[in-house]
Order: sequence, then structure tokens, then C-alpha cells
Amino acid sequence: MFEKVRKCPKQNTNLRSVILFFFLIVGMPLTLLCQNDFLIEAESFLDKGGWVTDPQFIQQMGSTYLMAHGMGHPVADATTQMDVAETGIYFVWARTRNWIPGKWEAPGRFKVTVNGTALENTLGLHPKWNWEYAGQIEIDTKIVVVSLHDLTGFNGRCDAIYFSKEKIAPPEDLTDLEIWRQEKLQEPSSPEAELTYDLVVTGGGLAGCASAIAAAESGLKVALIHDRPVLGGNASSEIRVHTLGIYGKFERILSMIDTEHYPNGSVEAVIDQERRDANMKKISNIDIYLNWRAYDAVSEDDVIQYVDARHTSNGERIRFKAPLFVDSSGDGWIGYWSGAEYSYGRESVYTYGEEWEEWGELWSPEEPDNAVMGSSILFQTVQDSVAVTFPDVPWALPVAKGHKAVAGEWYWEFSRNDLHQIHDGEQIRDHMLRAIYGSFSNAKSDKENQFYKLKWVSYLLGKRESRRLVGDHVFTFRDVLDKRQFKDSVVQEIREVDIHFQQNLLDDSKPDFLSKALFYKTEMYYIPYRSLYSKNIKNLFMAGRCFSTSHAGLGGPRVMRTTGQMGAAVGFAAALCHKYKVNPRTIYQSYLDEYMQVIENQQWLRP
Amino acid sequence: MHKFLVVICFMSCSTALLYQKLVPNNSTKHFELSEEDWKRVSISNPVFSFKNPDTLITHQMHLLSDASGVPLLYYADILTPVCIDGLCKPVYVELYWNLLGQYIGYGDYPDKVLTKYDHDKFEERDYLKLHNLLLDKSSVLGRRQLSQLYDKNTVRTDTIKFKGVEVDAISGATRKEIKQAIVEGGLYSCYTLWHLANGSAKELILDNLAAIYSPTVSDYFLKSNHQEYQYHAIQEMDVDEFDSKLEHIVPFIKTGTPLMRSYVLKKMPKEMFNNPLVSEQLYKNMSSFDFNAKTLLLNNLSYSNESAAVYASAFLPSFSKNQLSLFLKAIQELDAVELVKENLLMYSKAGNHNYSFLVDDLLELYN
Repeated sequence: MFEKVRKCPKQNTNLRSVILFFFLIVGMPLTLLCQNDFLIEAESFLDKGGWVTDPQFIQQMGSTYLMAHGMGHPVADATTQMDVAETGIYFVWARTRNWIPGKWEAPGRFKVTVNGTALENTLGLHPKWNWEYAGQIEIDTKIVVVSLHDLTGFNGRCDAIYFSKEKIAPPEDLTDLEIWRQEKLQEPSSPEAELTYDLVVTGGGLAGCASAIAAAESGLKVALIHDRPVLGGNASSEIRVHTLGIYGKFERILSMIDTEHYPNGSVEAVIDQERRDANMKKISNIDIYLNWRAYDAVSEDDVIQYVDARHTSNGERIRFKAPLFVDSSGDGWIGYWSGAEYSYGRESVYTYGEEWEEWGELWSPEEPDNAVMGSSILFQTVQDSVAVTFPDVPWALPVAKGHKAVAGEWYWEFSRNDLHQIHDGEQIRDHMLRAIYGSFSNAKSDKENQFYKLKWVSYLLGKRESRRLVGDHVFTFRDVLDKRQFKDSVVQEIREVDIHFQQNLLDDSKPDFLSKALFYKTEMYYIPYRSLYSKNIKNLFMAGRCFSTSHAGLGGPRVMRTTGQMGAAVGFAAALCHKYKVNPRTIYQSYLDEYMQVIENQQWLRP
Repeated sequence: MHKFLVVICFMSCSTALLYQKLVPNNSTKHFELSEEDWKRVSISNPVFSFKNPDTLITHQMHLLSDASGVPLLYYADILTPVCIDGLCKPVYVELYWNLLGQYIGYGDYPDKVLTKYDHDKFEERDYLKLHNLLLDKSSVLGRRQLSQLYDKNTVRTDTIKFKGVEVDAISGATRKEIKQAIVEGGLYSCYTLWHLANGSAKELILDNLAAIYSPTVSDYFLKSNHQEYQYHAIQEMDVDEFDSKLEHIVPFIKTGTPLMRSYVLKKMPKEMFNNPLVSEQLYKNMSSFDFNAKTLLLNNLSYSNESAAVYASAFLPSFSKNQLSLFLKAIQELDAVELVKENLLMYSKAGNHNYSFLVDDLLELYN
């Protein structure tokens, strides 16, 4: 019944004209037109107005989506346009959700407008991701202009818009929906493009950048896949955590991509962002794929064959092939998809002997559990010269309760034992948004805060802990306690080991979104190379918080100069793997002296 | 630990003198200990000595017990020099620890009052501040060298500045934090006493715990109002003991901090969840528990019984999405869907519950 279509978004008049001209001349537009229906992915809108692209929860809800992140001010419309094969009356649905349902008006309401006419129904009203019916419209032009019109400025979200001449809503079930989408978008089962590299690095945080630099400088052709428009991950101008830890042997590399020690959330992150981006561009041999998010990795006989990634806006796909892969995705996705062993949660204190008597259960539990360190959302406020109001946010108050704040910091952090830092990421992010908006709204009721306004609130989760891939060595707090040195020590650190816990564990009256840190002061400790490659996937390195470690082990080296060291160490190991045509484990077994010499030599090279 | 602080003055001789060892009784005590507990103290025995690594002075530790020999707390008479720039002055105090090595109070003598660097006497509020400081086991005094705390000209190696402003919020203390923590003008006394109260003495007391631990002590711990004691008693329990002492454990779950509550719920043998005491006392009162405890109860609901399922079903609106999923899974495993159907229907039809679609899906299966 449905004809297969592809989206055809357009950004501005000039671009629109060019594309239209192209369509007319070539006669075979990328968007094949259907008779009865068409699907527009919201993230493919070329003019996104004030809406932001959010690819964080694809694995949970099925797609990248657009979000009206206006901090209380309705954002500018996102607009696109389509060529329509057939005029007539269309029924329209938008895939959306009410992100915090309750006894209040849904906070993220929006409308769909078609050719300037707002469709009847307000959207963003139902609790789960679903196709909400927007209304019907008569389309009497061959080119139809579609807009998302935000009504609140409080994080309304839209995944896709579907037009059909028949009043039959698309499927809700995620598996059915995926098949339906592929059909509507005429997607073949494999990516259209296939590229081959010496090393494919997934995740452009500090670890991923460092590994790409080290490998590329050693002569490898590297693909760096990153799902955001800027590199740096938690250190980026989008999340704004400053980098802690030491450089170890890799000052030259890490000083190209780290940050100053500004307050977390500071706008100064933008300056470091520019420096990082410029430095990364200078490195030859790295193809940086910004706004590409990996969605699959396939292994045969425990060897990864390829990583598939999709552009977060235009939906194009590429299959990345290589003999070696680095998982610096943070959440360990490449390892997870390819079948690597991994762990999540807190081990029993007896598993590795990670006790810190002083803090008992808070540090390492007797019984294993899933109470990991939480994720943060940073925010920044400024004082205006005139009084500034902030809307009422009744939907935020059940989280914020009476808490008042005009500034955030690292301890704005959320973790709870019914929530998984990956599977429930959207809920965790939304909980933090409620905490921030609610606490700020409470603070605004005090006269002394009348000049404050929200300048910036991140919408990207700054995660501390998620999946940890298992390597030949599992780095633990025991290694720190025992001051263990390894013949393959490639990372070193002197910063305190600190593990966070939610404040309300000790005092139920505390807000559930604030944490505390336990600092274990330590002398220099070391991480071996064997914690940086997978135990069972033969050609997989990992660097960053998904390296091979226990929960308590992660407490120290999760900070970004340390994870950057891991990345650099992995990049140089990859170069030797390439040189001898061997897998990561063989470097430890047969080429360790040469490898350690390469690492040693790094420290004498100045920035 | 008791929430209230009692200051007990024992200025006259007591019957304690009749016992073989002297119980300290002539000091002003700043205690996290009830007067009633203190009155039980009858016997004092020297148990071991410990050394202050800074002064190299050895102090004698005493174990204080009740008349029947049940150990109650430790104390040591402290005479220690507090020195700065080569000038030293003596400080006399008694320090007290509980049986787990946690500092619980100090006593000072009327004729040897505490003084500050400029020889001003401690004021009443200073005594209280000192006590609170010594109770803070994560105090900044434990994380810094003395020199890092007092010398304004010393640049702390981990002081982090950005554009001339100290911004370190991660790795430790700011000067403001230090100032707030200590008795002003009494940094050296505070520092010395904090390390005595929270240093090696503590570890030695813990090492000694096995030697004094007995069924009587276990019982004393469990029935005490002291959460750390109760926690330790439960920590040492095996499955059989859980069963026989459940009547003491359940109240602990109800009144403990969320952390302690979670600990016990995780440790509790699965078969205990089927005990009527658990359904009546815990599942019936779920709404008063913290979120994590609720999750743990729901995680174990399938090991419980139909009554527990019915009790839990009364709190559907308070469950998170994942908790609701746990509940719905458990009632299917318990074959209790019909029993709680009324509450499910009420939740589903209310029209204002966030996750009613999950309940609807289940009800559809059972229609």
C-alpha cells in the first residue's frame, strides 16, 4: 500500500533552490516520491531552528530525535520541506512523548505546522514514545513545508513525522518500527558505503582522540567516529567537565586535547574546544567522522569484521572495516555488540579484596549490586542587569522538592538502583533536568536571586560509569592498595581514587540528585596494558571508562587525563599490531620490550 | 549513633572506685553516648597501647565494661605535646571510642583546660566544635599535612587556580572548608587530637574486636540503638541466625538509614522474604521506605508470598517504571495477578498514572 520514500529536507531558500534545480534537471531525486505516504526523520530537518539533535538514546527508543531545549524559552521552529508526489488530504502523526507525565500540563508540548497551518492537536502528551496523532491537512502543493513549533521551551521532543492518506498509525513496537522505518526509507540491510582503515576508533572523547593521534602519528590510517559535532566527550563544550589527572608519559599528546581547570560547566570549555578541534584537524591520517554514531559491530570467530555507523542527521550509513578497533565509546558499545565480555555494577568487596574499612558498603559492598556512580548534567547561570523571571515548573518540583540553587557542579549527579546508566539514560537525564529547573525555580523565589538567569544547561549526560569490558587483567582498587607495578604499566596516576555515592543513602532528607565523593589518597599507581584490550575479542582495544576494571578500580582512572593516557597507549599498541600483523595480546606476549620503549620515548617529546 | 549530645559532669567519686580498675570519672565529657549507657560502665582494663606517629608517645588503651564484664567502650588518657615552631604545650584529655573503633567523645579536666595558640581558653562552643570535628572521619584534617593547613605562604601542590581564583571543588578542601572545620586559633590541637582519635587507635580497636566478640556482644550489638553495632551484628550472621533473630532485624530495616536498609535487604537469605514478619512489617510499610529499599523489596517479591504482593499492590502509583515492571513480573511468578487485580484495574483506570500502559499490557494478557 505504501510507496517507499526517502526524506528530502531542505535548509534555506538558496539550498532549496539548488536541490530543486537538481531534482528537476536530474529527474531522479534522492527522495523517491510516494503516492500515499511519507516519513520525515526529525533529525534530518536541515533548518533545525532552536531544536537540538539528541542521539543519546537510540538504542533504547529507536532513533536520534530533535529536542526543544530552550531552558524555559520556546525555541525557534525547526523547518524542512518535502516534494510530494500527490496532493490531497493527509493524516499526520509525530513520534514523541510526554517526558514527565503527571498532574500538570505536559512540559514539552509542541505543534506540527504544514505549509504554515498548525495541525489541530498539541503533541508531547503521552508518557511513552509513541505516534501521537497531529491532525489532518490538505496538501495542495507539490512542495510541502513542515515545521515543529515549540510551545514551552522545556524539552519537547520529536523523533519523526509521518504523513499518510490512510488513517493508520505506524507501529509502536520497537522491533516492528525498525522494520517499518527501513521499509519507508528504502534502506537496504547493509550500509550503502564501505570504507577500510588500519584502525577504527569509536568515540571521540579524550581517550578516543588520544588513541587516534598516537596511531595516526605512527602511520596508521585512522577513522575516528564520534556522535557529536565536537570532540572531547565529557570535556567538550557540550558537557564541560574539566580534565583531571596527570599526563603520565603522554604530555605532548594530551596537552593538545585536555582542558584548563576551570569550574565544571564553565563557558571557558569553548576555548579548549576550539583548541582541541584545531589540533585534531592538524593530524594527518585521521578521518574524523563527526555526527556519526556507531550502531552495530559484528565479529566472526571473535574477530570484529566491521563497525556500522549512521549519520545523526541525514541518516546515511557507512560500514567501517579494519583489522583493529578501539572501543572508546564510554558505554562499551563496540565490545557489547561484538560479544566481548563485560561487567556492570559493583563487585562484592571479596571478589578482588577492595575493602576500605572506613567506608564499608559505600566503598565496596559485601553483596554485589548495580549501584554504580551516577551521571551529571552541568549548568551555568549568569546575573543580568535587570530582574529576570523564570516560568513555574510544577513538573520539576517532585524531584527538586525544596532545594534551591543558582549554580551546579560535579556533585549534581544521579544514580539509583532501579536505573541502569545506559538503558535508563533518558530517564536519568530528564531527572537531572527536573532537578536543575526545579532548584533554579525555587531559588528564583528569593529576591536576592532575581537577576539570575539560566545561561546554559547541558542536555548530554556526563556519565561516570557504565559497561566495563573485560581484558586480560582487571584493574582493581587492590592494585592501588598494593602499589602494584606491572612490566606492562602504560598508564600512571597519582590523583586520589574517589568514588561517589548519593547523599540520600546516609540521610533520606537529602535531594536524590546530589552526591558526595570519598577520596582515597594514594601514591602513584599503575594500569597495565593488559587492561586495555579485550579478553575474548581478539582485535578489540578499549580506552576510557569502559576499560577493564572493577567498579572500585574505576574510581581513580575514570578522570580524563588518565583515560587519555589509556587512549595514547592503545594507539601506539595498534601501530605495533599493524607493523607485525598481530593482535593486541601478542604485543604483550612477544613485543613488549619494543612497545614499552615506544611508551617511554613519548615522555621526552615536548608539546 | 545517638543523635543527641550529652554533656555529663562527674565531679564526685563514684562507686566505680570500688572496682579493680579506675573508671575515668572526673572529667567533663562531650559524648555521643547516653547517660544510661555511661552509667553501666563499671570496670576498666588496660588492653593494649598505641603510638602517635607524630610524637612517638605511647598511650595506654583501656576497655570499659559493665559489671558483668560485657565490653562497652574504650578510652585512653592522652597527654600529648602540641607543637608549632619548636614551641610545645601539653594537652590533657580523655578520648573515647566505641567497640568498632569510632571516636565517640572526649573528656577534659577542669584544671587542664584546652587553650588556643594565643593561650586563650577554649570557649563552650569551641568544645562542641572540637567534638564535632573529631566525629568527622572524612575531615579535611585527615587529607592534608599540617603544613598545608596553616602556612598561607605555602602553595598547596593540589591547589588549583583558574585565572587567579581558587576553584578546586574536586580534590579536597578550600581554605573556607578548613576554617569551618576547626576551632579558630586551635588548629594544632585540633590536628593532633583528630589524628589520635581517628588514627591507629581505631585500627587496633577493630583488630581487638574478634577477641572480645561473643554471643553476648553480638546480642548487645543487635539490640542496641546504635546503627553501626546493629550493622556489625548482622554482618556476622549466618542464615540460621537470620531466622532466629528476624524479629530484631526487621525493626532495624525499618529504622536504619537507606544505606543500612539496603545492606540488610541484600544480605537477607531469600527464604526470609517468605516470613510473615517480612510481609507484615516490610511490604505492608513500603511507602515509608526509600526508593532503593523499595526496589530491593520488589526484586525479592517473587520469593515472598501472596500477602506481600497484595500489600505492595497498594503502592503502585509510587513505583518508578522499572519498579512497576519488577512488580508485574513478580506477581505473575507468584501467580497472584487475580489477587491484586482490583488494585491493577484501579491504577489503570485512574487515567493519571505515568506507566499505566505497562499494567494495561498485563491486564490484556489476563483477560
